[in-house]
Amino acid sequence: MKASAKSILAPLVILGLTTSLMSGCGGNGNSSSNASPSNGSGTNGDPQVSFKIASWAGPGKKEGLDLAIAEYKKIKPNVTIAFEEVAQSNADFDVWMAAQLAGNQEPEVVMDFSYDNPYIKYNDKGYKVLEMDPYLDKISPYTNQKWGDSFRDVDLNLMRSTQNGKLNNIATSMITLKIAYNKDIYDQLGLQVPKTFSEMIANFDKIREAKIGTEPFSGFLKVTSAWDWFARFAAQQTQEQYVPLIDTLFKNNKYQQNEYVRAVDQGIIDLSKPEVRGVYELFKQFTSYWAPGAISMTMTEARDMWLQGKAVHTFTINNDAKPFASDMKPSFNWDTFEFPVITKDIAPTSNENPAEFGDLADAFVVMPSAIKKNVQDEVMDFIMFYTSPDIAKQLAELNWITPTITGVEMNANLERYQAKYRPQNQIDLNSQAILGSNARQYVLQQIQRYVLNDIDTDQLIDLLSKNMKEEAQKTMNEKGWTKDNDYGNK
Amino acid sequence: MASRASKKVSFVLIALLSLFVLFSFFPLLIMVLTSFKSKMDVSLGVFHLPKAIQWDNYSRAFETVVPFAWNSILIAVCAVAGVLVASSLAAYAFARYKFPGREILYYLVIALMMVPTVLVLIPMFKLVAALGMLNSYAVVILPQIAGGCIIAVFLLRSFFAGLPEDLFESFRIDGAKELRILRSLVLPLSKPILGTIAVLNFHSSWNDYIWPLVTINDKALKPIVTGIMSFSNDYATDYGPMMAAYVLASVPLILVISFAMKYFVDGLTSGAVKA
Amino acid sequence: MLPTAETLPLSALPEARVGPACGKTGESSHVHQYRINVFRSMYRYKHAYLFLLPLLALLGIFSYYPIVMALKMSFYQWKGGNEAIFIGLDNFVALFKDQTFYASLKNASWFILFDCTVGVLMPLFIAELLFHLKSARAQYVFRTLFVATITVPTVIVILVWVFLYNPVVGGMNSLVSLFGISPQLWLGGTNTALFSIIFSGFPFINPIYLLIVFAALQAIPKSLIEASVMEGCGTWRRIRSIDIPMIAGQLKLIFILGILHGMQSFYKQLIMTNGGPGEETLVPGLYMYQSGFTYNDFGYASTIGFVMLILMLALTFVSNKLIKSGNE
Repeated sequence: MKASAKSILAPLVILGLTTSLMSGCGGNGNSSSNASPSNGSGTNGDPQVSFKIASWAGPGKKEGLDLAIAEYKKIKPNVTIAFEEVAQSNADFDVWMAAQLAGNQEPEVVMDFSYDNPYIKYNDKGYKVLEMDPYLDKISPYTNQKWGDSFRDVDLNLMRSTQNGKLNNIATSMITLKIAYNKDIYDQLGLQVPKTFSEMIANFDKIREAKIGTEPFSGFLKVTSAWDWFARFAAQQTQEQYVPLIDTLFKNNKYQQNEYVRAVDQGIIDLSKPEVRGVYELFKQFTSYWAPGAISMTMTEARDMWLQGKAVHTFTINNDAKPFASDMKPSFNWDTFEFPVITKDIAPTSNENPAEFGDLADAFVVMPSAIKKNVQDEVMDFIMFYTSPDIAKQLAELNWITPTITGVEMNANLERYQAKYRPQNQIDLNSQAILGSNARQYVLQQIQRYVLNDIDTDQLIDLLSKNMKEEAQKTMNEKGWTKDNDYGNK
Repeated sequence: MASRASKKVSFVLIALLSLFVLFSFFPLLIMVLTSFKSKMDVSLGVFHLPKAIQWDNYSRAFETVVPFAWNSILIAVCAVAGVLVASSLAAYAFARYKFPGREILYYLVIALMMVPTVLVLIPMFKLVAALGMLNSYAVVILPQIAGGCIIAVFLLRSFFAGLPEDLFESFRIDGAKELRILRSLVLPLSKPILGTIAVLNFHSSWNDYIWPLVTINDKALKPIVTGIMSFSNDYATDYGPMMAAYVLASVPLILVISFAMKYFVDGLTSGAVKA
Repeated sequence: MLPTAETLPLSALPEARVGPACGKTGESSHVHQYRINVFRSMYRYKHAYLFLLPLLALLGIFSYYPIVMALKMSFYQWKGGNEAIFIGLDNFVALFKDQTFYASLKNASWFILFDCTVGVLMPLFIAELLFHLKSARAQYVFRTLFVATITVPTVIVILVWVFLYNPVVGGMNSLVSLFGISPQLWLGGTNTALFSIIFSGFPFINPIYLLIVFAALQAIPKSLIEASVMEGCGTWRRIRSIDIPMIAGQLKLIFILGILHGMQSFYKQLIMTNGGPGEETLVPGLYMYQSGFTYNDFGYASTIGFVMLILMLALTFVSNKLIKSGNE
C-alpha cells in the first residue's frame, strides 16, 4: 500500500502532464477566426468571413443573438458568426476582456454597456475601437435609407463618448425605469398614484403612520445606479438652466468632458448653489423612507423585498416585465408610475417638465482585432441587419425589449414600462460621473455616509467640492488642457 | 466512580463538538434546502420552506454540471499529483541537504506566499498567451501546481527536517540511493501531511474560477465551476438549480476527502511517529 | 525525558539548528579557495539541485516571471492596455499620501487581529476537545466531519450571511433582540459593517488549521502525558505547560498564515459590501482590485500590491522572531 502509492503516482503524473502538454500544443490559443478573411472563397465566389461576438450572460441575450445570427446566415451564407457568453456577470466580463486585450486575444465584436463605458474600458487604455460615425451616412441595405436615420438623434447623442464625441458603440435596446407599487396596499390605505414629489413623500408618510409592517420603499445603494438615476432625473427638472452655460463648445445639449472640466475650473459649477445642493437634500429625504440596510443591498435584494410584500414601492426596469408575468409573479396586484414632478415649491428652479428615466443597453462595440483583419465592413453590415426594423421587431417579441430604433411598435407586454415623458440627457451636476469612475465612486461613498447621517449636508458639499476640483485638475493635467487652449478644443 | 465521571465528560465533549459541527455545516444545510426551492420560494427568504420539492432543479443541475465534471477531475488530479511530486522532492532537498544557497532559495520560495494573486492575473495571461497555451488543460494545471507547491514545500520541509537522524543512518548504511530513501522511508512516514496537502490542493483546484474563465474559451475544456455559475447572470441568479449544482459538485470533493482521511488514519496508527 | 528537537516531528519555520548552509571551509581561505570549495560542495549536493529542478522551473515560469512583471508595473502609469508610461516613483508617492490606503490598512489590521487570535484559538480549542475524546472512533468521525466542512463553498456562506444580516427580512435583528440589543443595520451600517463581515466566519474553525494542530497534539509523546497524569496535574495546567509549548511551532505557523490571510483576502468584502458604507470595510486587497479593474489604474494597483508584499514580509519576519517556537 505504501510503496505502491508512489508507483501509481509517477505514471499518473506522466500521463497527466503528457495529456496536458499535448492538448496544449494542439490549439494555438488564437480564435478560429484568425484565418485571413479575404483569402478563402465560398462556392458562390464571395470570400469567407468569420468573426466572434462576446458578451456576458443576460436574460435573453443569447437567444436574441442566436436568432439574429441564424437569420443572417440565410442571406449571407459566407459569413460565419459565433456568439459566446464568456462570463456570467459584467464584472467577470471586464476581467476577461482586460486579459484578452492584454494578450491580443480579443474577439472582433463585444456587446457591452453604452454611454462612456466603451471609451473608459477600451479607448482610455490605448485600444482603438471602431468609430461608427462614417457608417451613419451609409445606406443600409435592409432599410434603403441612411443607417443613422433609424435612430433618434437624442439617443445617438447619448451614445457618443463625452471624451472625444465619437460614436464608438451602438446601443440596441432601451431600458425604462419606473417605480412599482403594491396596488393592494394602496387600496387598503386609500392612496392615490402620486404625480408630484411632495405627493409621493406624503404617501410614504401615510404608509409609515399606518404601521402595517411594511416599509414605504425598498431601495439599494450598494452600487451607483439608483443614485445616478435620481441625480439625472432631478437635474432634468432643476438644473436645465445650466446647459447653455456649460455646453458652450459643442452645443449638443449634453456635457462633453472638457466642457464640464472647464465649468468646474471656472467656478460655474458650484455645489453649494441651492439648485445643486437641493438635489442632495431631496435624495436624503427620499432615502429616509427606504428600508434600512439599503447601503448593502443590490437591486435584486431590493426587488425581492418588494415581492415578499415587505415594501410598498421599489424601482423596476423593463427587464422585470417577463419574470413578473411568469415565474416571479407578485402575489398582489401591482402597477407602475413614473418618477414624479419636482414642483417649484420645493425646488424654485424646477421647470416642472419631467424626463423619463432611461438607460441605453446592449451596445455593440467593434474591437481593434476586427480593424486589424479588415472585416469592419462585414461586421457593420451584420450590425445594420441586427438593427433593421424586421429583426428588431422579432427580438422585441422574443425578449420583451424596447429597441432603440425608431418605427418599431412597443411590445404590448411592456405597457407598464412605456416611456411617457421626453427622454433625458445626461446633464446632472451631482454624480460627477463625467469626471471618471474615481470621482463617481467617491460621490457614492460620501452619499452612503450622508444617508446614514454620519455627515451632514454642509460636510457633504465640502467633501464633494474638494474632490470634484481635484479630479478636474487631474484630468486637466493628464490631458494637457488649460484655459488657453480652450480645454483641448484648439 | 471514575468511569461515571468520565462518561459525563465524554457526553459533554460530544455534545459540544456536535454543536460546533452543526454551526460549521449550517450554510451547507441551507444550500441543500435551497436546492429544492422554486424561484418564487427562493425570493421569499432563506429559511422559508418550499411549498413543493422541485426535483427539476436537480435534473437541470445534472445536465449542466456533468459535462464539465470530467475536466475538473482531470485537472484536479493532475494538479494534486504534480504538487505532491514536485514539493516532496524539493522539500526533501531543503530539509536534508546543506547545499550552497539553501536558505536563500527557501526564503524565495516561501516569500511567494505573500504575493496577492489578483496582481499577477494580467501578466500571467500575457505570458501564457505568448506561449500559445490557451484553451488547454495545461494552462490551468501548471499554474495550479506552481501555486500549490509553495505551502506544500513549507509544510513538508519542516516535517522532513524533524525526522530523526538515526532512521536515515540505517538506510544509508545499506547503501541506498537518495531517491530510494525518499520513496521507501520518508514518504510513508509523511502520509498525514501528504494527505492534508492533497485535500487542500484538490479543493483549491476544484474551486478555481477566474483563471479558467479567462484562459479557457473552449466549452469542451471548461471546469465544473463554469457549469455552476451558468445559473447566474447579470439580471438575476436562479438559486434553486445553482444550489443543486453545488450539491452535485461537492460529491467528488467529499469522496476525495473520505479517501484521504482513510489514508491519513492509516498513516497515523502505523507509526514511526511516537517517542 | 524532556522533549528534544529530534523527537519533534513537526517544526514550523526553519531555525538555524540544522547547521550552516555555506560550504565555506577554514578561516584563512582565499576567495579562490572559497569558490572552489563552493563548487565542490555544489557537486557533492548535485542530487539536491536535481530534486529542486521541477519546483524551481515551474515557479520560475508561472510565479516569478509574472510577479516581477507585475511589480515592475508599479513604476509605470499603466491602464492595462498597450501604453505604459514610465513615471518612476510617482505611484509610490501618491500611495503614501493616499488617505484611502491608510484607512484600508486600518481595516485590514482588524481582520488580521481576528484571524491571529480567534482564528488560532478556535482550532486549538476544538483540537483539544477532540484530543480528549476517549473513543478513537468518535475522534475519527468528528475529525472527518470537521475536515468535510471545507466543502462548504465560500459563496454559499456569503449568501446565507448577507440574508441573515438584512435588517428587515433577515434573522439577525430578531436574534439579537433576545439579548436586548436594538435592531442594527449590520452590513449597511457605518459602525457595524466591519464586524459583521468578521463575524460571518463563525464558528471560525478552519479545517486545515484544525488538522495541523490536531496532528501536532497527537504527536506529543504519550509518556509525557502519562507522567503529568501520574503527578496529578489538572487538565488546564497540563494544557498550559505541556501541550502548548510542544505544539508552539504549529501554532506559530497558523498565526503567520492568519496574518497572510487577513492581509490578502478581500473576496468577502467585495461581495458583501464592496468596501462598505464609505470606506468602512475597504481592505488593501480590495483597494488593489478596484484600482485595477474598476478605476483602470493597473500601475497603481501594482504599487499597492508591492507595498502589501513588503508589509507581509515585515510582519512575518517580526512574528517569527518574537514568538518562541518549541525549538528553544
